[in-house]
Amino acid sequence: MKYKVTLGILLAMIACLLLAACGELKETPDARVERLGKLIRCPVCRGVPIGDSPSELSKQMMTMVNEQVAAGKSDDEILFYFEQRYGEWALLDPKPEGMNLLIWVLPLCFALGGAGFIVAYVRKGKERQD
Amino acid sequence: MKKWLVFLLILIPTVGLFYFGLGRDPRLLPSALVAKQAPDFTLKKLEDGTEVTLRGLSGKPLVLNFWATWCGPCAAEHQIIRELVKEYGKTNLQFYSVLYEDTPENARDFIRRYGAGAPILLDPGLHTSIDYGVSGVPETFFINASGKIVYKQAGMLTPDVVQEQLQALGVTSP
Repeated sequence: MKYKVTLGILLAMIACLLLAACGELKETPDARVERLGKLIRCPVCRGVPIGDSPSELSKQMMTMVNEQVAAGKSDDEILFYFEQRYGEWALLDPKPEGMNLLIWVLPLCFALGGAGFIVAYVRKGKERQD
Repeated sequence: MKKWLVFLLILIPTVGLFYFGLGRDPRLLPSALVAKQAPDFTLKKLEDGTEVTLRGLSGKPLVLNFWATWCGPCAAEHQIIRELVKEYGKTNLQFYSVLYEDTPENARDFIRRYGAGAPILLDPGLHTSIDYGVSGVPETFFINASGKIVYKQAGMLTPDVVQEQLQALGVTSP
């Protein structure tokens, strides 16, 4: 019985992975344009992606994304095009390198520091009670 | 002693962040294109519809100004541009203004009212503006004779900036 449940879970996981992979393969050009539009920052707005911005500049940038998708360019090539012109600032999903690593490292440091502080505080309290 | 250490560990990075964040001149927006080759363009002149390309302008220093009639600082800058064109018209300096998010009719009306400055180029799909990473107007690019961007002014030009950058381009007043 236990063997059957494990096998069932494994098969379900494989099916989910296959479905996810198929979903990736079946992405339409429009869906790709929409997804890329969420990754590029509108240069004249505050923290809004070009796909959600009503500004004329963002609309034209979306047109360029559309053209580049139609021309068969990869996601990296399209994002690199905008990064080259507007700087890394234009990417809403910054690369995990250089100073950007702080975004990933700092929360971990704060969490570890906070946990250490709580442990030390509780231990001290216990020592006082003893 | 430990409390002081914790206090300093919090205070120093906070003061540092404020210093770097507030100590910068917001007009000195970093441009990813400075020190790089200027993107090529093919744009039509407002005046007669003839095509102008960056390749066709190479070999001489170029000042490329992005502007619009609806932009207040661009209107204030217009007089500086007119004087610049007048003063350097007989040197090897080339000067073009690219119309940004605006109509040719508005540009013609503007010239009728305030006089002509530099030749105006039309960028209907904003392709050139995006190629140059323009995020607002006015923005001005100083491009050397070999086609490299040496400086980008975000915001209104001033006579001092113009003098300094033209010197950097090797252009001297006649």
